[in-house]
Amino acid sequence: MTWLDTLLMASSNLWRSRVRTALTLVALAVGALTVMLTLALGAGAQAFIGGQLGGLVQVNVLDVYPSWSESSSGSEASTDDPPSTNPFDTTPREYKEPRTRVGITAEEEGDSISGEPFSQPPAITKRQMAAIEQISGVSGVSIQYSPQITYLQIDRGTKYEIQYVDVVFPGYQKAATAAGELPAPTDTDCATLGYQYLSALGLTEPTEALGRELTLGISTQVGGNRTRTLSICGVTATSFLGPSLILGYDLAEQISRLQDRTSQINALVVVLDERQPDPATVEFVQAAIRDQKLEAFYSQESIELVTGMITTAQSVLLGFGAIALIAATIGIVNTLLMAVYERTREIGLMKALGLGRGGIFRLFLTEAAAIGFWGGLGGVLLATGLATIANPLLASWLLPGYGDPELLVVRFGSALAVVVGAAALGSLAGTLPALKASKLHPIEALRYE
Amino acid sequence: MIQVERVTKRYGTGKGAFTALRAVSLAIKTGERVAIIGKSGSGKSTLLHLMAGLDTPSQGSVTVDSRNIGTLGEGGLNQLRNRTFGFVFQQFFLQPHLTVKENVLLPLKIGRVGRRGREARTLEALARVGLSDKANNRATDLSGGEKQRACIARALVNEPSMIFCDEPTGNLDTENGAKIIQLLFDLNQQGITVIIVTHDRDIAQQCGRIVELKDGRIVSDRRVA
Ligand SMILES: Nc1ncnc2c1ncn2[C@@H]1O[C@H](COP(=O)(O)OP(=O)(O)OP(=O)(O)O)[C@@H](O)[C@H]1O
Ligand SMILES: [Mg+2]
Repeated sequence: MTWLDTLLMASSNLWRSRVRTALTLVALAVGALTVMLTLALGAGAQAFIGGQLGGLVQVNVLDVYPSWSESSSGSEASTDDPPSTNPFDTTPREYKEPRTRVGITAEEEGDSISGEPFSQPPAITKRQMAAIEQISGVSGVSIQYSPQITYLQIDRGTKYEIQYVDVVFPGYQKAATAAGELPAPTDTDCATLGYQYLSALGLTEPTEALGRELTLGISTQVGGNRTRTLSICGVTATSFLGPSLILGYDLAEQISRLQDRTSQINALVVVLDERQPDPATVEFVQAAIRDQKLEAFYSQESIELVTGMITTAQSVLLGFGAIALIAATIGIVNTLLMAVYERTREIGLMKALGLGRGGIFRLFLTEAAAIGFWGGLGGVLLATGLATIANPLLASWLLPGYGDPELLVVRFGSALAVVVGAAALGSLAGTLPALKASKLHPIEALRYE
Repeated sequence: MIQVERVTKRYGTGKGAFTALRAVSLAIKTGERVAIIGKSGSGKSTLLHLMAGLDTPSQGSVTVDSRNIGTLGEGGLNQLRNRTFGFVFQQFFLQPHLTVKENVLLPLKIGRVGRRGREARTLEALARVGLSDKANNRATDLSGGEKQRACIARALVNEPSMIFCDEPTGNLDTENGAKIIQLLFDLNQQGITVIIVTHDRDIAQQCGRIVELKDGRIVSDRRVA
């Protein structure tokens, strides 16, 4: 039989038992859908990270900590912040004054948790700092201040919590602005506001925020709560995991000093000469810093952290997909075995009329591959439909305030791969039934009741 | 020309083994018309299957046009069955979901005949059995006699030189049976060797030659006038 006749006959056979075919297709389509979603999530996340996260990571910066320090991110969220349930959700939350217990202020309580019951954390010495400055490839070293700001308030309105504060150290090259500018390291009277606060303020255009009065809540160890009033000189570009606030270096130092956080150096920012350092350079500098008994974290690693999270999500999805596909494969084997039994006499007749083992094998294999193909195609179409529906929902649920990123991107290449893969899987599943059919003895097959 | 030489056919092994044919020898010339008769279980179908290359003998050989079919290999045997032989079975084996035409052209499809040739030859075969007007009917819609005629058309379509029939009238009434036999005899007149397995003594008498089997042996092989 020619390939065309084989294909036509296989299709007509599948159509003949269309209910059974359809049920088998559903199982396969679900598997293909899951795999397709995994790939779409990968593609979407990659595009999103490339577009959004790329803008806020500076690749020529190392964060340096004393070697036993556990914190790995420079500017931490305020200690009063409850842990955010969704790390991607940067929707500003309203700030609530902590209730004060008799005799102890909330701030004192907070500080006692981070400090007093434990021994003083090891500090970085001026000598170590000077040594790092001497390492070849290093262009500058600054102290990493982490001013603790409890809330921000615009034009004396609602107080909002702050997720994290970024500081413009000398050599800072991060976070583009949607309007206005970043503060210079020496600016002490202006700051750049996170894009995510715009909607909370009822603003649509970033430019509307410029020049407004910005009040920061600062808690100090001795003086209780203080505030600092600045003006808004810029708004960050819509950005993934973006900072709530960007302050100039000198301002960060002033606030930290108020909070008595300058008595010892807890962290450094090391800027490298090259804007795009190669891994060898980074490793060399990291090793040299480690020789100073300090830890050096490469900020590129934070992208890897996010990609790692996405990879984990993908592996889980892929696991489900694999299970669905295994079930679907068994389904195909089952369907075809049933077809072989059902059509035993037909197989016997075709053999009697001179169709060889190869011809019968090809016929059943084609049926299996066709189930695979249509199931794969169904999965891809379902995934495309689902992506169209789910993208706006996912964007507003997972990533509010980032515009409308497409988290699920169905690429033609991966769609093709899924369809071809499903057809190949179908063929694989069809091998056993096809072999069984091809081995039937014509006379015994014709006698089969 | 078919030559069966000392053919033995055993089914199964060990205690359950059954010898269906015992050292059977038989020669059928091209253009002959042969009836194979015998009681049920005497080995008629077994002999027919062996001659038609649908099964292999346990011992002995079957030669078709001076070629031993045991040495043909799978491809050669398939080609022989597809091009040289035609089959008519008692149970028809028509595919119910297909039209008469589609059923009849199955051997052409298997033999990789091109689409245009298929159409012409199918219609011609249907005309020869008088089923032209039923070409596009579903096979299930035919009467018993029509079904068997469709089967004969399917056996004819590849223009075989021999047609093997295993009780072709077994599922038909006398009248329709007689028509089918007449059709087969007409084909024989056109030069096709016809071998018919039958229970029906009348039909056997009409054939030129009667081979009678008993317990797997030929007990008589006679020509009738
Ligand atoms: N595949 C098989 N396995 C075991 N025994 C078989 C097999 N095929 C046929 N036989 C036995 O061989 C003997 C001959 O069978 P065959 O079908 O040739 O008889 P037959 O003469 O055609 O009978 P009927 O007139 O009933 O069709 C029978 O006894 C049958 O039971
Ligand atoms: Mg029989």
